[in-house]
Amino acid sequence: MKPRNAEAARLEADYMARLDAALAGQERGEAAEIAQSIKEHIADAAAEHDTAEVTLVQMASIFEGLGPPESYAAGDERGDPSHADMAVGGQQMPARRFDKRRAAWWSFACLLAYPVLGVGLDMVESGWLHKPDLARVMFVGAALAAVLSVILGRSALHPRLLPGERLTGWLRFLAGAGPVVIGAQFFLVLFLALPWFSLYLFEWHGMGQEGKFFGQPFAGEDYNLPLFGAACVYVVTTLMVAGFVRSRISLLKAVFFPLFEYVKPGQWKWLLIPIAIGLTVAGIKLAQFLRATG
Amino acid sequence: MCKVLSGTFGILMDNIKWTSQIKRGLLEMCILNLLSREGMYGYLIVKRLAVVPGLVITEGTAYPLLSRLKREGLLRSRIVESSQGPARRMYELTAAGNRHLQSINAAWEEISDAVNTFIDPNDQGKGEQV
Repeated sequence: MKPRNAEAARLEADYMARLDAALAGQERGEAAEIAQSIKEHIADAAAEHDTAEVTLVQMASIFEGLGPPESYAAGDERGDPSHADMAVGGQQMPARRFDKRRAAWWSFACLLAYPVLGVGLDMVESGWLHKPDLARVMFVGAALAAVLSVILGRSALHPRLLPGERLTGWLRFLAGAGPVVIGAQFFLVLFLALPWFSLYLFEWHGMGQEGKFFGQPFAGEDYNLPLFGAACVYVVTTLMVAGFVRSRISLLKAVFFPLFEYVKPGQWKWLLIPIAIGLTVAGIKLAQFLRATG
Repeated sequence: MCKVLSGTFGILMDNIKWTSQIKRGLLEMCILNLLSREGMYGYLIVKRLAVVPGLVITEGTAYPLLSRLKREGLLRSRIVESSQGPARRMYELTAAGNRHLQSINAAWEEISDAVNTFIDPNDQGKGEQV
């Protein structure tokens, strides 16, 4: 390989890092192949220059020809018009504005808004908002988030990194009767909503009452518990199947499928917010429960 | 004035989008046709495409496309060692790719004939008769 001067090497390293970040949402093998092809392209293009080492200007001209690495992340999904304008010529079209705030992030925002809304409503002491049933607020909010997520997922403006055709037949049905991206969004909503549901079921059934769990003697006759368990099994199994079909390689990736699919590099830390809120509230509830049951 | 400008801009954007989509579809066809003659490595494919004035592609655009065609079983690739540089990925058409190419070439011929009927003013009468 032809040596690069220090500046050209830095530029190349920066471009390859951006490329890796841009390809993070794609299947591992495919991303590796594209990255390898780009490396070969750079090596071949650099070899065409008759200087002893590759200069910054030469390297910049190679990258100018290649276009921005982010244009590769637009994918090459057949028949998806939202990508067509992004892939050719590396043009930054208006559709890309959704790339940084994908549909699932709107769901996240909705989910994060529930406790705030719930607490806010709970503080109102008079009028028609007087002490509403928080569980109902949660269910309505989750339903709205799911609908919003599906609407955004179906929007032509929304970038899709997942080929819907990966899931067929009953798998597609299980994953939400549509392209996996929509199904996964829906399940992501449920997946995140379930801890909140469970927490509000605690409230709903007066968990704080002495000697009771879910408002009843803890003898397994509470219908919510098996329902909650069944929903969890269904969601997690479907996510794993969908994730495994998608990644085909990594079980870990399959288990955390929505995280890998929906969190762009550098944004994963935002996931810690709902997780931290959920864990904190769960910790408080557990402490209350332990104190109540002595 | 603003309305005129935004209208013109809108038309321009629509035009760019439409042209991009057409080129994108044709790019796949061009790559398959290129590879039907002989196997080629990525850089050569890109260079061949880049010199055609009508296509005007960003070089990097071809790689995700090659990857997708491979995933769909229309192409296969193998690593070829080189004495002058790094090993290169050589792309070749598969049997399925060959069949697909024949079908899209036939479709293209049919479509371009039909469209030309309307574009060429001398043939307008023919189009109306149809």
